[in-house]
Amino acid sequence: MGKNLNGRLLPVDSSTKYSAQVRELAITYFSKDSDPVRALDGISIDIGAGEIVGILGESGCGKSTLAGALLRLLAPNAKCKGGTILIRGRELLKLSEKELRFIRGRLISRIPQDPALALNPVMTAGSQIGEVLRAHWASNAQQRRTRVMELLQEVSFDPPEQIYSAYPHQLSGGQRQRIAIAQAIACRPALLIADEPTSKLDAALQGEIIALLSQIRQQHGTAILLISHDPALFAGFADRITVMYAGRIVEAGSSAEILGRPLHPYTQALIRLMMPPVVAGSRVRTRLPAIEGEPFDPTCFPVGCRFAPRCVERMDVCSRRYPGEFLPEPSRPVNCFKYGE
Amino acid sequence: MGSKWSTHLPADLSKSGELIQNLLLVKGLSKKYVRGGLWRKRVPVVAVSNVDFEIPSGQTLALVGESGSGKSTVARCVTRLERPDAGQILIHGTNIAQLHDRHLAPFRTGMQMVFQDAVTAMNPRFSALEVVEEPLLIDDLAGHGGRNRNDRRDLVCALMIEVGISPDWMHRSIFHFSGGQCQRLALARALALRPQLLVLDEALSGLDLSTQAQIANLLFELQAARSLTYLLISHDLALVARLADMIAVMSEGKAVEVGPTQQIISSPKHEATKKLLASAKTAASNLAAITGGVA
Amino acid sequence: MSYLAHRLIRAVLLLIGVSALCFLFTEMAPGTFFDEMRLNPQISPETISALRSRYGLDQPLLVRYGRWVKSALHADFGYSIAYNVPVAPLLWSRAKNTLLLTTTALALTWLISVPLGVRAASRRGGLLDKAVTLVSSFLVSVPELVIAVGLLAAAVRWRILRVGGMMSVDFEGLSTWGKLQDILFHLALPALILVLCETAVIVRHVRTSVLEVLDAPYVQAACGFGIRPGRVLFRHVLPVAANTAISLLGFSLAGLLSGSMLVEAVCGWPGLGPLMLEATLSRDLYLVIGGIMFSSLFAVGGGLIADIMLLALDPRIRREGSDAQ
Repeated sequence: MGKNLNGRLLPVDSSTKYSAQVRELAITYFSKDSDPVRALDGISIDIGAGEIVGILGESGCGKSTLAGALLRLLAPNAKCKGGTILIRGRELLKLSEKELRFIRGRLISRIPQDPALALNPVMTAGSQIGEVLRAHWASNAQQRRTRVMELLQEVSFDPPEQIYSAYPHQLSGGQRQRIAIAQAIACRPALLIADEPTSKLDAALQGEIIALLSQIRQQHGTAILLISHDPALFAGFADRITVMYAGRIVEAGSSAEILGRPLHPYTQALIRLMMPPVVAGSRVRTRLPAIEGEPFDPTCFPVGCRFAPRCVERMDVCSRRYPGEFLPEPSRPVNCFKYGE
Repeated sequence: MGSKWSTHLPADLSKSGELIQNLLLVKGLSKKYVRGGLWRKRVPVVAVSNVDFEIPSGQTLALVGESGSGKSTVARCVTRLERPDAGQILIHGTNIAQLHDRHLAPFRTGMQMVFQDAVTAMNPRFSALEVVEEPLLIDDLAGHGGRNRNDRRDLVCALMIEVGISPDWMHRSIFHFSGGQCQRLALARALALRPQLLVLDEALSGLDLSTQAQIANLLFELQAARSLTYLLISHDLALVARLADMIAVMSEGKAVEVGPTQQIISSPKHEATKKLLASAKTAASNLAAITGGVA
Repeated sequence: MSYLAHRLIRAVLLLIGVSALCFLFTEMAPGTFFDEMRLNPQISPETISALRSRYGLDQPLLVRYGRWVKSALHADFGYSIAYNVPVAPLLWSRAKNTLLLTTTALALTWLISVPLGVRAASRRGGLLDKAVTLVSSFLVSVPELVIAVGLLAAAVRWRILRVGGMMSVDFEGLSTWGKLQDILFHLALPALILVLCETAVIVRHVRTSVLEVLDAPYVQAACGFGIRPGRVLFRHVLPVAANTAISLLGFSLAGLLSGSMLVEAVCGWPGLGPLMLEATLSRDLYLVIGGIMFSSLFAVGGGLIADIMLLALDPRIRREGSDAQ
């Protein structure tokens, strides 16, 4: 643990099966002006070593809170109301600040959502990546510089020298996002959290960023937790997908199953929105199959299924009781009364 | 109240005898910005160069391109937030490209712009009523409207219903509305003075998929109900393909390809178009490969 | 480099403009130095007009301005009519005292405000933060005059510090160390007043700008990478928050000569302030203009130094003209 003596950056022991395990996590935000917001209400997810897990959900479903919880970097008014997070078998919620600082950047890293604000404006790109190295690696400036150059090449900056001494305001959005990715992978973390990595970028850059993440997984066996509201991002990339709505999990399964044969009405509605974007011969100017109703109000939760008010297949029982987890197929948990009682 | 475009044209600028089909016709639009000033070397940056396109009344044209291709500059020139260096911008046949501000006033109510991040386009301390009412208020203060406070409130009520927000929330402050709801309010505000042309500058970007779909459907409805013409600006070809009648692809300040949506998508000619199409297609084909089908 | 030259030229033009406006305004102000003398029956009108022509006051404005500029270039700023000595040495002798007071106050203010503001911001909502907010609000609301007189009264009553002027009556008789001590004891009260008033303002600004940066996504990201809080504060937060502080420092420097007039008057500190007040009231023309120009020099210089520091520290300003990659 911590920096070793002879200056080399040791790889983290990858013998454990899971990078992270979340069990029944519940987090609530308290504030003086309004009712408490139950951002996460009993979430359980397993992320295996080297696995790419996707979290699919709208804004406000709690996905960013989950990302923050994995790093234990939440707003001061967030209180954990239950559950555990295991990082390589160790209970994250019980670690001290010092131990947490070892984990952040070294075992778990986060890629920011908005590249425009993610980099310090008065530091060069190279020195910012160097800062992450400095925190976890006993080394001198020259060693760090060499390593930063390697990292820059890994995120497709060729030649890297120019970018090393560039300031963020001189770089485009896509370039900044790649610098942020270089920061995140600097210490070869076991788990990389990508929270909406492309939502603030041009659609054309989406493919590039996803390809880069894919490459990182292949070369280093890094597990990736990809969080997004856009199902297209997971296609061909994620191994498994968990669908979240209103602070709870509604469905989980392998990527092919969730995208190809969604079971929960919410997932089905989301996938319908994606079909088909651009295919020659399809009718132009079609009305989109939108999900009716407003995103839920996070301060008041209805008894029963939280998607019920907007669900086209709503039944009576849906508003009376909360659907527990049903298993219509092995390893395909769905929280919907369509599949059980 | 109706658009004032046909009644307030300055006499010496009206065109006569021409059959007007297009609401908006842009010819040879050019604009450059100059970096540097009094003491530094002046470096001209060409934002837009010789752009042509037209939008028939009641239709939607999408301006697509990467960041920095000049789409927003075109939008700003069309609504005369900036003055173009060269070219013509013909609204119902009248060139507004070089008009002075005071001659421009009657045209401004006919075209409105909606921006990307609705939440930052509004003062968070204002109530929904105050936000949507603002154009009406300004119009009344300038002496054109002749409405009193209650008239305005009724109008705002009707507008809010039209965009799908309950009028009970009229006095809620913007702070409490979600991103999608704010965008609806922005639309309501834009429609207050009954414009004929709406310029939507990345108005659907940055929203959740489901919210995007809702707002897109709302735009369809509004277009049908009010015979609006849309100039839609976006970097997402997949999205606009379902919304637009025509597409103009921009790259490095030039309009490299303009045509009906079907044509652009099935047979793209320019490199830039192919590139945009390719990234949209990759996502689609990945998805199609998994989902195993096309609707 | 050209940015720097640009700023320097602007500064010089500004000073020229100030001098022109000075002359214009003093011309427009009613009365001259000799009005009082005119009322005195014992002085003949001829004497007065002779005095007037001696000081060049009977010449038209432009000629006077031209002659003043010409001699100013030789560092000769004219004569004081009241004191009958050259303006420049007179100004300098008093300005020295003012500078002693204000630079001491400036250094103390910033040495206290910056650590206090940073600490209060980094432990937001804590005891120190609340105390700083409360006390600074109070000090900002109370007028400087009230603070000055209040402290003066307290000092006199409790005989802690020496009040009145800069030196004691028996100054000349003291040893060098004694002289130093004497001045310091006299300096303490006016400096304290200035420090209290200025710290209240500056600590709030420092606190606010650090708070703003602490909330920025890149700082959150730095914490998310496991960088130690101390390093995050000093290497990631403060350089960005320094922007505001440097602008404020520019203002502080600008007010080095002009900001302490009230305090000097109340405490009897023999500085530039009382001199300028007196000169203005008695229309001592060249002394007034000389004093204003001297103050303006500091004002413009302060701004310039702040700009140079910003240029050196903030890459966004430095690279303003260059293209993005």
